[in-house]
This record gives sequence, C-alpha cells and structure tokens, in this order.
Amino acid sequence: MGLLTVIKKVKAKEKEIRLLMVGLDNAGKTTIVKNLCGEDVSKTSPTLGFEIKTLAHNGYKLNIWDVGGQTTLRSYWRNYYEQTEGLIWVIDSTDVRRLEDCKRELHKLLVEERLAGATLLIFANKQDVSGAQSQEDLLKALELDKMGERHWRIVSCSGVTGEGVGKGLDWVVEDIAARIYMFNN
Amino acid sequence: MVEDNLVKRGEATALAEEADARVVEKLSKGDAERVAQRERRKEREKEEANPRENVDLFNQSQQEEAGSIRSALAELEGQPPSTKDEIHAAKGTFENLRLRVLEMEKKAASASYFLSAYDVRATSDLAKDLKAKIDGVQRGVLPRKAFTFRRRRVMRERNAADGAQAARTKAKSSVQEGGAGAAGENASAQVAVEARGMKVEAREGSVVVIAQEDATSDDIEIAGCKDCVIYVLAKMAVLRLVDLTSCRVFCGPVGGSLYLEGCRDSVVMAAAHQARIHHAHRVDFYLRTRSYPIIEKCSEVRFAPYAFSFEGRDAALEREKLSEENDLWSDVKDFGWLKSTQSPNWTVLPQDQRVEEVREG
Repeated sequence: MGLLTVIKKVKAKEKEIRLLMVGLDNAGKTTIVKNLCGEDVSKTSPTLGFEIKTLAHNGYKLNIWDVGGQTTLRSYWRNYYEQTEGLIWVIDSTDVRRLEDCKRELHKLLVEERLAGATLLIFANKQDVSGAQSQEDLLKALELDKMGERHWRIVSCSGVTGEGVGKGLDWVVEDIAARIYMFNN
Repeated sequence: MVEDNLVKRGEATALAEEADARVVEKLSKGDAERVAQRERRKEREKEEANPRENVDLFNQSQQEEAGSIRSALAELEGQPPSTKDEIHAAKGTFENLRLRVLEMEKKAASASYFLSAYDVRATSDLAKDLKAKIDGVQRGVLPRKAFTFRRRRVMRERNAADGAQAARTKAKSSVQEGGAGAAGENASAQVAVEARGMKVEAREGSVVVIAQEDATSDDIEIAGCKDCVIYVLAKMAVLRLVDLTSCRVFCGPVGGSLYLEGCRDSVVMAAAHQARIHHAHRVDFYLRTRSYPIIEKCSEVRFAPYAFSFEGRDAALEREKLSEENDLWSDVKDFGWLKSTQSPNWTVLPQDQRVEEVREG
C-alpha cells in the first residue's frame, strides 16, 4: 500500500498517462498515432515490433505505445499490459473477413487481469472508405454487451483524414484523468 | 425660547439615537457576518487540515459495508440453496458480494493518502477477511471446487449433466470468455455483417476487369479465384487479395494498403502505400510502395519493381502519391525471420526472369 501511495504521488506530479494501442494488423494504429502527432500519414510503414510516442494533450503527458498487430507479434502484446491505464483497440471497419479474429483477440484482452482497470477506447477506423461498417454494426459483431464495470466507448474515426481521432483521445484521457488524478483537481 | 431649545434638543437626541441605532445595527450585522465567516472557516479547516473527520467517516462506511456483507453471508449460510435455480442465483449473489469487497478495496486505495498506516492495514485486513469469508461460505454452500483453472472443462461437464439449461449458460459464459469455439460460430451466424465493399469471388479460368465504371466501392476484395487474369483499374483505398491460386493480378494504385492473404503460384503487380503479404508461396510480386513491403509466413516469394501500364497510369499514380520510383520493393521485411541475415523466404527476382512491362488489354 505504501508503494501504491508513492507511485500515485509521483504520477500525479508528472501527470503521465500510458496508453496502449492494439488491434489486428492493417487496422491503422500507426496512422492514427501519426495523425495525433501531426505527421505525414501517407508514409506509414507496417510496425515491426513497437513504437513509443510522447504527446502533450490537455495538460497531460501521454505515452502512446503503438504495438504491431501481425499474428507473429500478438503473443508479445502481453509484455505491454503492465501499468497501462488506457487501452485503445483499433478496428479496420472495412475488413469484414477478419471481424471474427478481431472479436476473439479483443475478448482475449478483456479477460486479462493486468488490463482489468484500464479504460477501453475502440476506434472504428477507416470510416473514410466507402466499404466501412458503421460502429453500431461493428459493436453488434464484437458482442461487447457484457463489459461489467469497465469504462469503455466506441468512436468512429479515420486515421487518414483525422476525423474522430481527437474526439476519441479526448474522451479516453478525460476518463483516465478522472480516475487517477481526482484528488489533484 | 426655552421650549424652543428643548424641542431642538429633543430633536437632536432623537437624531443621535437614530444614528446610534444605525451604528449598532451596522456593528451587529458586521459581527454576525464575521461569526458566520469564522464558522465557515472553521468548517473548512476541519475539512481540509483535519482529515480525522474523513477518516472516521471512511472507517464507519467501511464497517457498515462489511457488516452488510457479513449479514448477507449469514443469510446464505442459514438457508443454503438447494434447487438449480437457487444455486444459480446464489452464485450471482457471491459474485455481487465479491464486487462489493472490490469496491471497498478501491475506496481504501483512493483514501490511502489520508489514512494512517494503521488504518490502511486495518482496511486491507478487513477486505482480506471478507474475501476469505465469502470463499468459505461459498465452498460450504455451493458444490464447487475452490481452485479455478478449468472453466472450459466444467462447462462441458455441466453440459453433459443437463441439457437445455446447460446449453443456455454455455452460450452465455463462452461469450464472456472470449467467444472462441461454439459460441463464436453461433455469433457469426447470428450477427451476419454484410460486407459493404466490392467483392469478386470464386472465379475460375476467366479474365476479370474491374474498371472505374465497374467499381461499386473504393474497398475491393478479390477472393477464392483460380487460373484467372485479373485487372483492377478502379480507384481504390483498400485492396484485399485472398486465396488466389495460379492467378495473374494487375492492379492500379491503391490509396491505402494492399492486404494479401493466401496466394500460390501467381504473379501480382500493384502500387500501394503499403503491401502486407501473408501466406504466399511461389508468388512473384512487382511492387511500388511508399513503405517497405512485409511478408509473414511466406516462402519462395520474389520481388521486382512495378511494371504495369494502363491508360491514365501516370495521372493515377500521381493522385495516390506513387509516381516516384523507389527501392522500397527490395527492402522486404519478413516477420518470420528476425535475424539480420537475408531471409530464406524471399529473393529479388533476377532481371532476366522478370516479365516485360504488362499492358492492360
């Protein structure tokens, strides 16, 4: 308990938030991160391993861990769960073929003990493409009706145009801040 | 004269009295305000500087909650559930009680900054005691093992034990578990999400041309084709090639990523921002990309620069920021080969084995 207090105090001082971006490969995770950082999204490479971006947002310092989604990399996701306050799950809304995969991987994360307290933001990405599914349909397919106590939300977005990306991030940061830093405000 | 003076004096006294009254009133008003302010300050100080009040309140609420949980447990112990439904309900109750203890712990954690070490210790002991008590009562009341490492097997046992109800609970619990297996299949049957993009499927031995006027979407998927020649000239944001055997695929520029999964003995020419290639065997790729192509679980794949030409090609490439030739096509990253030496799964296609520039039509 003593350690917890110390950690809380240190964190409160720095106002740091750790976010983990995961999702199947080709979902658009890196594109979203690049968009948030104001970088050129047309030169996004598939992520080999992971990348960390630090971003100042509404007075908080966000450490965004962008982890590759290839099948070979998914078994390493677990190494990033520790101390994750916010989980950002990105879906390729055009990829109906792999929705079942997407659902399975997401549910695997949700039963993970180390992520039990993490706020969950789901980005229904690629909404700029005409073949994109609506967030309502995706929600149905992912069967997310039994979330228990977890704070979560789904937001439609496009990593390419940037639409909805800021809105999603605002929500997740606000939610985490309310949870962690409530004694500071 | 005297009277006159008297009257005047009288008036003066009256005036003076009135003034006095005003002063008194003012003073008492100010005094009342000061008192109120002092009270408020005291109140605030009590709240801020002296967390003892909070601590008492906190302890009291913890004790009350603990008491209510204990009495709920006593009730369960007094009337152990006997029928299936009762057992089911009791399980829910136990879950609920655990959640309440969890809530207590959460509260304790967030209050830990003003609690003394003793109080922190006492609350955590309280929570531990409650948890042990819940576990104990549950063991006594419900026929169930304490160690959980076997959700799936238990489900099956229950399934064998009785029919309809087990089926119902199974569907429920496996959804919670992650929806693998039977429930997952159920779900995909229930929630059929219609693909909204354009789909070309199951062609054999034919020539397929998707020109701009044929395209119904900028999201195109070509799946399950054999011995086909396929031209994709429409403007695309997403292109998926799935399960192609002995096909020749020639694509115009893709504004997003080219995603390929499952392909054998084929030739694929494409320009795209990204090329993500999975499960390809003996396939020659002629690519122009804006980032390195990646391969995963591939073998005998070869790479060469983009060599497909069609009417309006330059303008189309320009539009998708793909007009510049680069060497990225030869900078392939293999997810199945993490060593720094060349991956055995891919090679550069030797110049003399490359096909000449392919023209559409």
